[in-house]
Amino acid sequence: MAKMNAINNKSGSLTLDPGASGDSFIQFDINTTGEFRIGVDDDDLDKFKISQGSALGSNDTMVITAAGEITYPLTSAFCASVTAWGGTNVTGDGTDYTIAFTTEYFDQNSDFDGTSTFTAPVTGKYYITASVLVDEVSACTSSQFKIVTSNRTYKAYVLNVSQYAHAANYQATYSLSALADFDASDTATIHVDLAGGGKVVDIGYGGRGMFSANLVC
Amino acid sequence: MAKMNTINNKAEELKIDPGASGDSFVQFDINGTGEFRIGVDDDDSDKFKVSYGSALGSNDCLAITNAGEVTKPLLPAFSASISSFIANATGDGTAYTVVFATETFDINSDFDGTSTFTAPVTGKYKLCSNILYKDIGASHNDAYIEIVTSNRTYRSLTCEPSVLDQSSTQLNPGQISVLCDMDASDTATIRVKVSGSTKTVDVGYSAGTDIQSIFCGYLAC
Repeated sequence: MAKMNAINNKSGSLTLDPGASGDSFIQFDINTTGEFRIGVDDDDLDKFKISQGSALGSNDTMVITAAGEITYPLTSAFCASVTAWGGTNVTGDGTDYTIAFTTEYFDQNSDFDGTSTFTAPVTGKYYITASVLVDEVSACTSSQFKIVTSNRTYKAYVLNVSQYAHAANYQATYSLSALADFDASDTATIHVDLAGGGKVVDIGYGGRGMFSANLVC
Repeated sequence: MAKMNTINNKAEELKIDPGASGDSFVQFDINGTGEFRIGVDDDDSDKFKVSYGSALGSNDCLAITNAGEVTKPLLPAFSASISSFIANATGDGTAYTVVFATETFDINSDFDGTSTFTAPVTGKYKLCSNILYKDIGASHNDAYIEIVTSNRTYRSLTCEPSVLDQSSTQLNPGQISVLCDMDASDTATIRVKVSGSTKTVDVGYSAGTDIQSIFCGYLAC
């Protein structure tokens, strides 16, 4: 059995203090490889960090400021929008169109493919939000806006959508969000399907379409 | 003054290494009881974990992969849906508290399996809902969906829902999401109301993995 070092005096405490300068930390190694380091980064406003590897300030996975703000600089999170038009004449006749979001605002951990697909890096629950503006819907009688994941599809229906739209230019905006269960490598895409008219519906005028997700737990 | 164990020599860093195998960890006990353990789980891809108790890999509260993905496997989070239409729930101004009887997941068991989420600790919770209506008629003149919490009620109003559908079929007039302040034991439910005509509006429905009415939430901070 491996030996364990115990601190069992009344305070049960262990204080790490490097002196006038330097980080105060504990290093977790396995077979001499630095796996993770936790502690206070003297070079970054004395923030408490959990960092992958063997240095605070590199590969910081969790950061706590002196004011208590907690960030996760490497965890999965992205936000992208459509660019100008996300597609012209792509639906209206019942075509199920997968929306392209080609302008990335950020993609922490590089899990979005730059066009339409988010891929979960690890099993977990992800909060997904999406919205899009549709144009030229005057002849459409129904529509579906969908978050399509590997496990299930989250869907919003609007019937008689031409009445729902702004009468002057026949535009409408859909939005939908969900806390979704993903297995590692599961995917999510955003779809829109309008029916009852011709294939004349445009998507995302002026970049008005967003797709974002973040790993929650 | 109580004795403290101190490392105050700059060169004397505290390094923990079990050798070729085994976890690398620090355990926090009180009176001989293992309360929390932090360290690297050698049996799970060398993830860094904060675990309740005295073992990494059991009761993991926080897990961080080598790529920096952070999961919180025990964080309160739930998602529930409706498996079939709830008939004639509203339409005459009746405020109906929606029953979501199909749970997709309920980490920490804070959703009661019907309609109510109860906050386990004081904090800010992200809640969202999307509801499908059926049989909205020409005379129904407004509809809303509400997140009703112990502290306050959040409402999303859709005016003149009848313009959306006059063919006795289905629609989602809108959804609602909000970051709510909740005290421990505070509750949250989803309430809908359609007015202006008879009580003939059905609420809900999801078909298998096709989710059209949902209530979900999680502890954000």
